[in-house]
Amino acid sequence: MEMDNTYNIIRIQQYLRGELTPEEMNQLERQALDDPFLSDAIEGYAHKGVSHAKLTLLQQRLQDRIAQQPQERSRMLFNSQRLGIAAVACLLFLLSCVLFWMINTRDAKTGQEKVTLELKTSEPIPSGNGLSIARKLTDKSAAPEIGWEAFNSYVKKNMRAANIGKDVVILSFEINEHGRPINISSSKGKSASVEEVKMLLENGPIWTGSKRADVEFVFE
Amino acid sequence: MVFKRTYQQSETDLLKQYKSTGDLNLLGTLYEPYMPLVYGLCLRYLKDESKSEDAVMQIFEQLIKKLRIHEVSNFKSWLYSFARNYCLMELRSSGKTITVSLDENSFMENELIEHQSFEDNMLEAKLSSMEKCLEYLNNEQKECIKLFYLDQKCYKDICEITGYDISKVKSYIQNGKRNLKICMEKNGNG
Repeated sequence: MEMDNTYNIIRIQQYLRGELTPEEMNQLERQALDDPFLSDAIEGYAHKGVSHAKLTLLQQRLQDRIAQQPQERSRMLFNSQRLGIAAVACLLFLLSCVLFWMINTRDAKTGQEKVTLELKTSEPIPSGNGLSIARKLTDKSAAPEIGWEAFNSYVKKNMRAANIGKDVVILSFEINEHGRPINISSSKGKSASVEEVKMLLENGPIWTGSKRADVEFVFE
Repeated sequence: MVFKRTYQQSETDLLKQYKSTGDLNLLGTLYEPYMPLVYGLCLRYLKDESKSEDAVMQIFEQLIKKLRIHEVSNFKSWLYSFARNYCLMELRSSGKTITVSLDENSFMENELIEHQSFEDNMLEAKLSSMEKCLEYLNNEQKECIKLFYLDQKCYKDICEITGYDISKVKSYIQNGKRNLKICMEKNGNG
């Protein structure tokens, strides 16, 4: 007694035209009573009549609409392709960024190492090679602006060896705003040697890096 | 019945396949059998042929999106509510006052369609116990229900026999059927 879901439009038409037997009409009416969809459709067709031409046209429109699908699909495919390319490009960009960063940080590290090496070489070489030499006794001590090597050359060149002989002199002094050594005091050394080194300091290069210096002079 | 079940089965499959693939061919296969019904429904509400044709296509357009998102178990009843709502929205947006007579039975329609399979099996099987309930109906409803269900007369014949107007006959049958159902559910539980 159930009609299948492919509603027989012809039966609706026959019903509306009164071409069905009373039993068949009753059957359709019962069905419509259980099926508001069918009931509404019958009522709609009752007003306007069943037009097969219009229904065929509608089917054609539906098929046309479905036929548009491949275009839409290919457009979508194209879009997803583009998306893929964009993703790969992004990944490559990120990778190159990371690589670039890694190389840069490695360079920076080697640079730092170079700096520390330079700092080490700038430390005065300990005595023992028979030359007169000056070196700082504390880390905080000021240093000659020209560097310890040049300062040593200056000392070696200008000292009067007859006044000192073999001696070790330790001097503490302050640096004024012009970089000149002032208030020089000694904690070690013969007075003649101390006077000679004081003279060398007062006539020597200017000092930088700190307000105070503690320097040892070894004459051999 | 077997055919109906396999048809519904394949409908469920089509819905699932469409939801995952978005292939319009599947949706077309699903929608095409219902087009005459949808068109008739639109004719009922919109009362205009070209508007109804466009509505049939517009409803399809909306199905393309909706059925990819929503899980639909009963396509027919879902489509019915959807198409009906679409037409009512159309009427509202066109600024017309809605003159559709929402007869009292309209409010039961969704309920009816949901219980359809229940009724298919139960209503026919319990015809005998129904006769007792028939006695509780008022005379007009009883007369029309008897003619319609027991004597299998069509509306037109019932009109001639009873002399009632066809819309009266329809509503007597619909209301009588509802009252019968309520009565029988009470008996079934008791």
